[in-house]
Amino acid sequence: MDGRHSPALTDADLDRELDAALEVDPSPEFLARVRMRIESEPRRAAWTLGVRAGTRNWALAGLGALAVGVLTVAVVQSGRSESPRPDDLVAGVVPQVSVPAPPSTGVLPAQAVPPTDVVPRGPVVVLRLPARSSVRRTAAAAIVTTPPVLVASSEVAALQRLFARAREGRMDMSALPDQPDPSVAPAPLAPIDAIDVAPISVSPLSPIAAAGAL
Amino acid sequence: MHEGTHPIRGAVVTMDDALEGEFEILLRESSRLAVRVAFSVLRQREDAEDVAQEAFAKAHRSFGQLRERERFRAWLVRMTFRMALDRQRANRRRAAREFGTGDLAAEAAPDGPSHEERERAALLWSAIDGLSEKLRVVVVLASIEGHNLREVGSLLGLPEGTVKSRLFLARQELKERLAWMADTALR
Repeated sequence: MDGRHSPALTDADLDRELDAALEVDPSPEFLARVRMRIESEPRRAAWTLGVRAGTRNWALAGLGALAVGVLTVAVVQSGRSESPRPDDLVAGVVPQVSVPAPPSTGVLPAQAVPPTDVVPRGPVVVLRLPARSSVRRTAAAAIVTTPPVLVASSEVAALQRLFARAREGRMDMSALPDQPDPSVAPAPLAPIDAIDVAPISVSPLSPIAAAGAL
Repeated sequence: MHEGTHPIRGAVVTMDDALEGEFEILLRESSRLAVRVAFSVLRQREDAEDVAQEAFAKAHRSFGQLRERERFRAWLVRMTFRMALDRQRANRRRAAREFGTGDLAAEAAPDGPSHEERERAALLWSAIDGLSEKLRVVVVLASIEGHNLREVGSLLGLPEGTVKSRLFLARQELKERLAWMADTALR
């Protein structure tokens, strides 16, 4: 020890030293470098998502969770029933056909022509559809297992008109011919010869000789 | 907004002009803070600017959550400090591998007009390096741009009382170290 001591460092001295040590300013080109650095980054379409991530992230997370839930339910449902159960099926709906008002003459037209304004054109397809049609696989299975029945729309209309008028007692049979048309009458049948059948006689069976040996 | 006022317009085509302007303002007013925080660790201007630049790039990517000025600056300070520490460790590993010494920055002469000032600065930096990270960041921030205790607390997310006690401990430790180093140098 030579007895020399550095003078005590005061707070002001320390502040001054620290200020001097940290007095470094960015170079003039620093801002330009930062901008270039940002420009060099790959353009991200998700930038706007990031900008509003505070609100959008939650929405995206919610949508994701909802999608996972829906998928889970769909998988569970399809695994539970590969083929539709009977109570899952309901009869298809036949299109409702309104019956037109009867003609003023009260005579049924000779040939029923379905009114085009109430009967859908084309065949009517009657299907047995699943009640819970949200599960597509079940619906597809129903379609495959129950073949469709096709009924012509004109037949549907004619039959429904017929049933409706019969129910209401408005069937007019006067238009039907009273006497058969001779031109279309069938030819007389040829006479049939009498059939002789010989009487059947039954004679009793003879006793078996060996019956006494038993 | 005009092209000239926001030079980064071309980089972020999906960013609307308001956000673009906000980021530009924060970049301008926080660049010195970020460089000084990085410099307090690295003590080399180029390294400090590199780290600050990366911190701004990260801030730009996360600007949606950092639009508020105080939040932006606090995030920037912490990110810059952490990245500077990482760079310092990498520099030390590289120096030890290539030159057999521990710290390139410690050997690099900080900016200073005279030999005596450089020596004093080297002593100070050595004393600062001896502080724990918690104390070092507090004393550095308190010395940058005249931040008061509340502002330092806001930047670090710490209560004002915690900042005060840490700053007291840091200054006390610095003074003791500097005195000890000065005594050692005189012998």
